Amino acid sequence: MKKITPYILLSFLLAACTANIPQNFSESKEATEIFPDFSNITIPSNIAPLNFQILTEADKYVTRFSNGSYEYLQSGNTINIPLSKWEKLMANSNKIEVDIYSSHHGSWVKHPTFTWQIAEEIDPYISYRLIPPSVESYERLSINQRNLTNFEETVIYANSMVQHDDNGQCINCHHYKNWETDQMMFHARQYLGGTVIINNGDMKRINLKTDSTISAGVYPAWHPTHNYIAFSTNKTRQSVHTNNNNRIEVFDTESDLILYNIDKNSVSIVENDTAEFECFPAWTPDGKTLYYVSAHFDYGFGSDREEYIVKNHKSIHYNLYKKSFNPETAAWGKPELVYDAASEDKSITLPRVSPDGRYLLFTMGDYGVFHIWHKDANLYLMDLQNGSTRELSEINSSDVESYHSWSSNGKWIIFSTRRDDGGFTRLYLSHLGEDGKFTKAFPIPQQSPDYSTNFMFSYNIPEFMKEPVSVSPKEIASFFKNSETIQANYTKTVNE
Amino acid sequence: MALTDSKKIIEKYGFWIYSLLLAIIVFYTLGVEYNEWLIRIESKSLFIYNSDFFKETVLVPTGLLSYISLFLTQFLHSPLIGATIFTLLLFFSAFITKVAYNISDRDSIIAFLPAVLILIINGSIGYALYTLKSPGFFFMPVLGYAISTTAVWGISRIKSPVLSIPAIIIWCFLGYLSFGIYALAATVAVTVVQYKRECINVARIAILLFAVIFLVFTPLITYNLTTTVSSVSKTFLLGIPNLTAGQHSSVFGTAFAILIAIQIALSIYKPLPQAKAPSYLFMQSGILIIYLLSAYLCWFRDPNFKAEIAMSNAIDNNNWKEVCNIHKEISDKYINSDRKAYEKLSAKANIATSPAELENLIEETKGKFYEPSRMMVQFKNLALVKLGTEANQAFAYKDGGRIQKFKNTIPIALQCGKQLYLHYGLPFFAYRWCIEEAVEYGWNVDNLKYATLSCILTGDYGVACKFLDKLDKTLYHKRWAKEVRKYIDHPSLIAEAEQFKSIKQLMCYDSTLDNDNAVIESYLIKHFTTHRPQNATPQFDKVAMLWALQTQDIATFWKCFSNYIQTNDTQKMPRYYQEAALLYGNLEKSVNISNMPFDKAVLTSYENFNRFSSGHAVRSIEVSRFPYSERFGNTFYFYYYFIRNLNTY
Repeated sequence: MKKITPYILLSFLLAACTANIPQNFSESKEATEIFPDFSNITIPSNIAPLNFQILTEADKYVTRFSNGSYEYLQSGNTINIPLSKWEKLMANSNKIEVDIYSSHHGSWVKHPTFTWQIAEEIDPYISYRLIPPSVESYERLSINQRNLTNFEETVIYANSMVQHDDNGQCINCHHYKNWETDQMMFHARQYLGGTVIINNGDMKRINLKTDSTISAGVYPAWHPTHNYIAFSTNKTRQSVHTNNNNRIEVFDTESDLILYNIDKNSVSIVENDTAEFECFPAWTPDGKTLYYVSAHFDYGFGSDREEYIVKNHKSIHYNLYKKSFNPETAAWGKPELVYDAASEDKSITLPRVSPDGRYLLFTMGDYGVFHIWHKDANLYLMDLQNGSTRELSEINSSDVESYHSWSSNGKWIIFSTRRDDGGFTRLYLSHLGEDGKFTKAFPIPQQSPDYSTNFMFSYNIPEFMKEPVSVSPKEIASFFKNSETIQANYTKTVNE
Repeated sequence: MALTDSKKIIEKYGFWIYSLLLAIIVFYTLGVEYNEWLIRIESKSLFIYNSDFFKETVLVPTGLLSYISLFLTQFLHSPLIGATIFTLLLFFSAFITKVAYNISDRDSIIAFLPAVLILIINGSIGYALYTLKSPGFFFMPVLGYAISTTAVWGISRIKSPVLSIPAIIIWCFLGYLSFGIYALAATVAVTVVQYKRECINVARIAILLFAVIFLVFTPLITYNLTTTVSSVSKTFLLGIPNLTAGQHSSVFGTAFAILIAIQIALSIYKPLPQAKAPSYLFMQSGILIIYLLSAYLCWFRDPNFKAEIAMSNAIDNNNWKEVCNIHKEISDKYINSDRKAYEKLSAKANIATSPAELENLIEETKGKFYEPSRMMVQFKNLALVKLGTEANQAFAYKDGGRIQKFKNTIPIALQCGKQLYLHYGLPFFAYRWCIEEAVEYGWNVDNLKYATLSCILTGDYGVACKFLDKLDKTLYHKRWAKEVRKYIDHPSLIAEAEQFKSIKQLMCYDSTLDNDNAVIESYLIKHFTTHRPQNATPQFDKVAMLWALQTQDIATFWKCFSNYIQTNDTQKMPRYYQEAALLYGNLEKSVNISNMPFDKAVLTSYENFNRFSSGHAVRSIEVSRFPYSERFGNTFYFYYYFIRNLNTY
């Protein structure tokens, strides 16, 4: 008897933990509230399990996942789907149905079923910068990479690795050529700063600031076919709103575009009209056109330029432009206005062309260049075939939508938004349908459903990657400490 | 005979006598004298009861030490409990030192050396409290030392080298990852103990070899696997509370070095030779006096620091009367010493023959007079604003701007920027300083609470909820979180709530883009005296008057005064406004004051001031300040003439 007692106890325990669909229940029309809101979304076929929490108050819960041929049940209000079960659910299916049953005082209720439509694969990795939403401080900053097919997250590079007493480093934008990580770059400023370019195993730290340009390269765009990187060069300032929920205003007092030729280590001007603030370059997939934004500003060069901009920051509006480019000769065509946002009292930032060249996704807000702090900033889609533009109301929220990028197959976008709490930026995914419409956006899944609630950093500059970065953080840190900065040369621009 | 008996008693019961002495002194110092300090330390830390916090804290080198330290730090919120825990841990550190290193009863006083050093380390922190990057710092040294020394004791019990070598290796590896430098020091100590014990050369060499390999390679491997440490040398020092570079005192660093050295050196301890009773007792008393004196002298005992912290805590509790009382008490405490200092200065000044001699004299006596810090003055002014008595009482308190007696000045912005901005109706700036502090030094109870209050005032309820979710999971602050959450659930309550009402009245300005350049006083002066909104509230103009008076600028006063009389009841004009108008009106004839209905008392005090001035020529502000302050300290005239050249930071 003694020998079997533990087994009996274990059986009771297992029985207590095993979820069963209640035999008697009533149907409710009231949908359960879940966090994150994963209800009725389209998901990539290779995404990590969508763990969530059921927020609707109840005594007991049973959740049933079914793809028609396989079903998995879980009890409790925190749903943590094991990877093996998830793989079975995702295998050979195009839809998963989720039923949630909740029990109140012994009577069970079945809530409306929601579904997960399974669509094309997504690039397995993303990288992003983790940054606290502060004004000046940056004690801990890192570029991390996340495997979207599971929950693995690793550091690509962190500023803590080179910090020396009070000498800190601020990590800026990172970028890849064609979603492949053997050609990548990022910029770090201040202590040991420079633009790091990793080109098929060859790591270099370049100083892109020349006597003829404003600053080092800021917002990068790696040319899809040739070894060029287009950058904006900016004199950026920031100020604090005394009584405005946008909190911080980041603006440029000078802004141009440059082109860096990696092979020749040379910098040339793309646009440097003194009456224009040119910014955010983005290539078309064929590399023959560069889109960018530019704001007209002909105040001049007075010493109180910054003060003037501070006072008139709401009147600075960026339009969308494009320029033709010959990759073989590096010759530029003339700027062409694509979207006159200023005439609508709007301002465009962050244009990104889809991999098939059909669409152009951009952010538009009421004014300015730094939309991550603008609650009115939303995503817009321009159909480059017919030139029509529409606001993406299906994925926008009442809070900020800002930085975004396309997956390599053009079926998915990832974008940063502050919709969760209004203060901390989170990453959301959405699928582009054949009809040119996006499906309901959802946050990148996390192992722990309330992870993003607890996490006190913002995610920004999300970029898709086909594979993880193979250079280790230590190699990059060591490179910063031990390498010399290479000065880029200035060359004259070729115009068609 | 008596000496011999005393010696026998000390030899037999010395450890317990010293323990009792240690317990009484430490418990009294922390639990009673420095209880406000303990509360502040706790507010600068955060311990959350959830798995994400555990993972985030523990999964870095020395994370376990931080986690346990943070766990214990939360109890400092209740100073008597916190002081008890710390006292017990200090006692345990002495006890385990005695046991681990086989310190004889006769020499038991040596076992208290680490405890004294730990006290010095904690007590010397001073203003670095505001720039600590290891929020669990208070318990880190005592825990790190005590646990590592326990490991020395445990591994030393293992007699066989076959078992002791793996034990050293495992301890070195896991101990280092959990407790950092303390574990490395303990590894050295235990290696020496085992080395000394072994008679076989092979075993000795093996112990030494493995220990050295793991002592060197464990930190090196860790360095290569982690992304949180910037250099190899720092990897060996993990576990030492991380302070902003340049902010720690030399006492802190020296005491730490000695603590680590002692942990290693005790491994070669041999009982001291027998001494005769007088010599023995003399030596014991000598060591005891050195211990007590070192701890006393190395402790950061700045009265302003202590007062600032107590005032800050009172502000957190909206106890505005207490803020004023603390300021008053400390000024009153020094009134006699100020008088003596004045008498000395006055006597010497009377015989000074040249201005240069007088200057030298003044320079020499600087610091002899008590002077509050700017932060104290601003806290007091804020409290008076909250109590509505600033226009009649602001100058009844001692004014000044003594610089912190610390290595580097910690800006007011870092110490209390969020408090001042929040209560002066600038919640966006308050939030900004909460975030800046959190980014540099980590999220803690203090910045989470002020960030929450700021967000409630600015209507950013989503972010406020995020902060409250954290505070909900703390031991001592969940009640506060519950109280505050009701404002998010029912925003209509905000307007009626006492704590928000006075702040809301000051939020009547239009938004502009601005920067304070981390100098808060200057910014508040600018905000209130030059950025008057069109729809300024009476409260805004009242506060503007306080700042205008502080500027000692005549034009600013008249500008704010004319605003004030537009929005406020002028039937009963506050005293300082009358005094300033009377003084400025007479100094500069830019405003005609002949028709102003001054109170008789104000006219009399002004006459008295002038009469006294004509009979007491002011050779130097410094020399004359004290006698004038005794007669006219509570007037604007005194403030205008004698409180000059204040430094803000």
